[in-house]
Amino acid sequence: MSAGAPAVAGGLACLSLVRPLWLAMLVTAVIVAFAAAAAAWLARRAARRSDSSKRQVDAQQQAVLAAAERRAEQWRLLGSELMPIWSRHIETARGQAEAAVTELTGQFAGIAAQLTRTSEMSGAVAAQMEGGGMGSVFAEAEASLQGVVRALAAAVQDKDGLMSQVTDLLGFIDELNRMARDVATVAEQTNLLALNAAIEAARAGEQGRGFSVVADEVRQLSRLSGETGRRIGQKVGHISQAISNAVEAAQASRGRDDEALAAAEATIRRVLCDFQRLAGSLSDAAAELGQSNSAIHAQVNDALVELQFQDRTSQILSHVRDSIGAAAQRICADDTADGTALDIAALLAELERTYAMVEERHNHLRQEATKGKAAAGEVTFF
Amino acid sequence: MAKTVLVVDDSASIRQVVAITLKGAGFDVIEAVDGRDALSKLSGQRVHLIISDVNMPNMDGISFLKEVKARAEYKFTPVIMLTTESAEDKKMAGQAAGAKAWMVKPFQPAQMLAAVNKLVMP
Repeated sequence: MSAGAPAVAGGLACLSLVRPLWLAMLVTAVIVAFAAAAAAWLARRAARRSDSSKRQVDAQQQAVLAAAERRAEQWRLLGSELMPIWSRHIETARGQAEAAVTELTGQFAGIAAQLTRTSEMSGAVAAQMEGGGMGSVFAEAEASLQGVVRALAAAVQDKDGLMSQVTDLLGFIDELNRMARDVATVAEQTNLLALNAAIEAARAGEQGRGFSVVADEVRQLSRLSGETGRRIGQKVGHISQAISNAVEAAQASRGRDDEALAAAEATIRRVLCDFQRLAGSLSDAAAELGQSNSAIHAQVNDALVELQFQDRTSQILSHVRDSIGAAAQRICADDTADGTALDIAALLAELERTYAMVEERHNHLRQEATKGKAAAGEVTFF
Repeated sequence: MAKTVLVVDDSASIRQVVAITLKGAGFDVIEAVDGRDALSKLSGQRVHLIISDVNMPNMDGISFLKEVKARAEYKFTPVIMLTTESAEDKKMAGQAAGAKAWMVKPFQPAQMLAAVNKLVMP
C-alpha cells in the first residue's frame, strides 16, 4: 500500500498536463477506489491469516502445556509412588537377606563350636594313645597278666614240692613195715618164752603156780602185741597204697598243669596282641577323625567369611535406598515449573558421600560394574 | 579371669561371627548395635578391648572412638576398627582418633584372634 502511493501520485501529475481536469479526477477516483478496494481486500486477507496463525499457536501452546502437565503428573507419581515402592522393595530384600544370613551365621557358628569340642576330645584321645598313655596301659595289663601266669607257675611248683615230700613218705613206709614185722617177731618170741615159762612153772608144781599166772599174762600180752604188729602192718600198707595213689594222681595232673599254664600264657599273649591291634585301630581312627574335623572346621570358617559379605551388600543396598528416598522427596517437594529444584548433581554428590567401599566408588565413576569380591582380612596396625 | 571385649556393629551377623570367634578363645563379649548403644553399655564396665564398625546409624565409629578416648577410664583401652571402608583418608581419621588397628571386613576368624591377642594386655 505504501509502495504504490508514489506511482499513483506520479500518474496524476502527468494526466494533469495532457487531459482535462475531470478526466483526471475520474481516473484518480477510480484509482483511489481500486486502491481502497485492494487495500480492504488485502487487510481482510491479512486479518484472516493472522487469526489462523493465532489459533494454531494457541493450539500448540495448549498441547505443550498439556504435555508438560502430564509429564509433571508422571514425575510427581514417580517421586510419590514408584520410587518409595522401589525403596521399600530394596529394604525388604536387604532385611530378609540380613535376617537369613544372621540365622545362617548362628548355625555355622554352632557347628564350628561343636567341631571345636569334638576336635579337642579326639585330639586328647589321639594324644593319649600316641603320647604313651596307651603304651603304659598296655604295659600295666601285660605285667598284671604275667603276674597271674607267674602265680600259676608258683602254685604248680608248690604242688611239685608237696608231692616230693609225700613221695619221701614212701621211704618211711618200708621202715614202718619192718618195725611192724619186728613187733610181730618180738611178740612171737615172747610167746615162746612165756610158753617155756609156763612149762617150767607146771614142773615146779605148787611153787610155780604164781609164776604160771605171770607166764599166761605174758603170753596174752605177746599175742596182743602180735596182733597189734599185724594191724600196724595193715595200716601201713593202706597208707602206702594211699600215698602211692596220690603220687600217681599228682603225676598225672602235673602234665595237665603244664598244659594249662602254657595255654594261659598263649591266651594272654593273644589277648594282649588283640588289645594292641585294637588300640592301634582306635589311634588311627582318632587321628583320622581329628583330620576330618580340622578340614570341616576350615570349611566352616570359610563359610563364616563368605557370610560377612552380606554386610557389604547390605550397605550398598542401604545407600541406594537412601538415595532413592532423597530423590523422591525432592521430586515431591519440587513445585517449580521447570524442575529446577531437583538438583541431580547435589543428589549424586550426596550419594557419593555415603560410600564406604571401593566397589561403590568404582561404580560411581561409571566404570564397569564391580562383580568380584573384595579381598578379606586386611589389617593395619597403627 | 576372662578378658572382656566390647563389639560394636549394626550388622547382627558380623557381631555374631566376632562373638563366636572370641568366646571360643575364652573371651567374654558385650555387644552393641551402634556408638550410642556402646557408650551406654560402657558406663562403669571394665573392658580390655573394643572392636567397632565405622559406618553405623545414630553414632558412627569415629565419633564413638573420640568419645571413648575422652573418658579417662578408657583412654588406654585398645580399639580395633572393623569396617568395609578401606580408603586411606578414613584410616588416617581412625588413627588420629586413637584406634590401634584397622581391619577390613570380611575377616578370617584366625586373623581377628591374632589381632586381639596382640593388643589385649597380658
